[in-house]
Amino acid sequence: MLEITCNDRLGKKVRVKCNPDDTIGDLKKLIAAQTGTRPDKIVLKKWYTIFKDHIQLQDYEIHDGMNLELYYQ
Amino acid sequence: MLIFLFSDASVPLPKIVKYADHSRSASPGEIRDEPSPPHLSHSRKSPSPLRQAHSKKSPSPTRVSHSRKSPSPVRLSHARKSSTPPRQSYSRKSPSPPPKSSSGGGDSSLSIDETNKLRIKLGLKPLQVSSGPPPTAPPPIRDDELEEGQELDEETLLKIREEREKEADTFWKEKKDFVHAPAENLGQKLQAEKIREKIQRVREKRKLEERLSGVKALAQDSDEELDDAAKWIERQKRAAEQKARAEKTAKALAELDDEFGVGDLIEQDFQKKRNNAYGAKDLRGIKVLHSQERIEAGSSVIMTLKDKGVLDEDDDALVNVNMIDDEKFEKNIETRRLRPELHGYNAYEEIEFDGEGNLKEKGVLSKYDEEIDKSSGIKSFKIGDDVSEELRRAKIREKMQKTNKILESLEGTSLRLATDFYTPDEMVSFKKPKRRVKKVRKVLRADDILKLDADHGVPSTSKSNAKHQDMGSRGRKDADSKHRRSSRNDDEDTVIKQESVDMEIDLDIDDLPPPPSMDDIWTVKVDDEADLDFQLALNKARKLKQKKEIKHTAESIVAKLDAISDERDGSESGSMVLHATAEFCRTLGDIPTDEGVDIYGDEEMDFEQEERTNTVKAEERGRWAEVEIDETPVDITREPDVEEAPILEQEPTVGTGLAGALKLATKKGYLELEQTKRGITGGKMKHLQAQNYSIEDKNYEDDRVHKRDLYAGPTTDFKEKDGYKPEVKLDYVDEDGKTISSKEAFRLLSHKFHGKGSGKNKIDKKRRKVEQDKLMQHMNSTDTPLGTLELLQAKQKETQSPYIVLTGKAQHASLAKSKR
Repeated sequence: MLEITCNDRLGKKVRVKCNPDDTIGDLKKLIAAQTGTRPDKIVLKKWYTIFKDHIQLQDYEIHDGMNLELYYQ
Repeated sequence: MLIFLFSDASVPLPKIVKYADHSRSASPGEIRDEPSPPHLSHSRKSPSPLRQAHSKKSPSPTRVSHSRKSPSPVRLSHARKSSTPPRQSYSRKSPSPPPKSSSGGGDSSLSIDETNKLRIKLGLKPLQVSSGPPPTAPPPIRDDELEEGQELDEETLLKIREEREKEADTFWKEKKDFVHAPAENLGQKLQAEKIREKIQRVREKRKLEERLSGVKALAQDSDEELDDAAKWIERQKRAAEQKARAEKTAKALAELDDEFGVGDLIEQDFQKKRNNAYGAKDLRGIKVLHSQERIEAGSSVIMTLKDKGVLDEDDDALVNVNMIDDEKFEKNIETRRLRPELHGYNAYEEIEFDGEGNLKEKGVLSKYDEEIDKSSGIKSFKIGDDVSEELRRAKIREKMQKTNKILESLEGTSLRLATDFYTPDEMVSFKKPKRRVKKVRKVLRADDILKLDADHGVPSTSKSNAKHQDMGSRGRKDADSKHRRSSRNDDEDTVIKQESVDMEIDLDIDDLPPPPSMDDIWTVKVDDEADLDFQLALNKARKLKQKKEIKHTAESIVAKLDAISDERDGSESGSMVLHATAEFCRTLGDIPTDEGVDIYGDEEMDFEQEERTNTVKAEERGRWAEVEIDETPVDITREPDVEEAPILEQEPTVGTGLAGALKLATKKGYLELEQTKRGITGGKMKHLQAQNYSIEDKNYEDDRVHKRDLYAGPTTDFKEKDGYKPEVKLDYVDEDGKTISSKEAFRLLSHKFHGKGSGKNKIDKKRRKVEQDKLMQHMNSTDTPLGTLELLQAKQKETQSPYIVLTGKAQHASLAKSKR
């Protein structure tokens, strides 16, 4: 289990617990459930890489305690 | 592709290497391969218990068999499973804390339980909870252990399976609790609200109708009875019958009355009533609330009874609506007009009388009377009263007679705007006041004499005569003036007393009327004024005369000159005119006032004389001393060109040369002196100023030089300045021209800047040092300062020896001996 912090710098900061083998899509769903936004409107970013939905967190080397940038499209 | 390495050097265990890759596994014969489920292949990377649980659930557990030594297969999965606790048990252990609100700026996170629930909802597998690092490799399994493990496995497998099933049951039960709650549809909500409202309204309406059902409507009633014609006819008939019956009874009663003789009485009563019809006589005494003037004779005015309260006890009054309006209008105009009596104190208040000649009594704050007692202002009359104009006047007359009074106003002539001119009607009544010529004193004046001189063509009659007369002066009209006058003689600069004063007084007395008695005092005053006027007129005439004389012939001019000289004498004798302007000018620029004649009219002279009379010790003093300003006499015999000297300084002449022209130019302002311009900029600090200094426009600078260019410099070199290497050397020089160090220069500068030098000691020290330096510079480097070397050399030359003897002579001699 790892915990990821997602922050859109507009007032929403969510810490999500997930598995490393969860896909980004799953993570988005979790975030959506916590923040109350639609998951398909969420964009997750780290620097300039936009994470794609079908790829697992571990493949992106997302580790426990990492911060992801939360954007909305 | 998977590689399981269970390596332990100490234990000779076979290494289990599994190649998922079939192509590779096929080639080595020593390793037996089995196709493994894909999720197990993942398990190396992520050894999640969940995954293993899943694998357990699957009916065919993976068996990884030993490749070489032990043929018995090892249940890897089981071994791993036992190392990690099941997931579900964990979730059961901890009750879920309330979820933190995701809204707000804070960091929101869910607990593991909640996330698990959420994940279930989302169709994801639950979280794997292993706080530690993921197990890279499971502990090596020995052969014997593996055997046991196999037995264990089969037992526990069942147990675990049961557990799983239970868990699954509970899970699904739990899952049932999570029912997806559809979002609130706002539109539906609104609609529901609307419907509810409608229902409510209908309900209320029904209630109201129920309540009103018992009440009959107006129209309903009539409709029921009158809609039918037959019914109506019937009713009419009934009414007619009733009437007939009533008549019958009345007749019967009348008959009865006749029988008893009451009928006549009733008749009389009836007649009386008829007589009581309202007529003109009834209107007598009724009040009309308008003044009589308002109602024109011969016109008809419709009057109405004035509105009043039911309980009011005052009588009826008649009013006309239009007249009321008129009155109101007039009143408004009246109030709008500025009336001082309504605004407090009236300085020009006069006694007023009302129309009937009665004195209007003014109460305290009478201006409010009208407001307080409204009825008082209303003029009214009673119908039937005889109120004609004539009668009114008669009334006044009667009243006057009764009181035996005559109307008389105490006010005098009304105040008028003062003007210098009479109005035409005033001119009619205007009479020139009689001039009492005899009252005007005849005064011998200087110009009289002048005139005489001119007439006879002879110089003045006699100086002594002039001296004896107080020319151009006039005594006060005081009958008992026994004061003395002083006059100054210019020739001797001495003061002499003159007897002519008495003579003049005599003259005055001759002219004056006998001393006025007390009752005639007013007329005297008038005389005085008249006299003054006369004097003024005379003065004017005299001036005119003088002007005329100027135009006379040469001989007259000569005569005039003589006269002037005479006048001067006369002035010497005591008719110097003093007045404020002359005094002022005298003190200012010593303007000569040698024209002794009275240029300024008689008033000034009067003033002067008065002054004279007031001074007691006049004869001891100079004439100018009377004013006590400047006792030095004016030099009358001054040169006229001095008199003409301009007040401003003399203009430089241009004719003298270029210098003169320049001077003139500067004086006139054509040229500006440079000195005035220099001011601050010039001076000692010039050397401190920057040589090339200009204030550049900063904005312009910004535009021109971009940040990039700031450090770049010019792109091309100055070829012509290739060999140029500027040598910058800053030399500072002190007052004496000596170069000084930068430190000293700074000190000097700071001293200049602060305006404060170093102290005396320091200056001395410095000076000494400088002197020493100078000495050092001048000192011979080959000799001591005292020149001992030179002396030595001289001595050696003298003795012709390469040495000198410093001590006694004997030694020297011995030395010399030894030398020889």
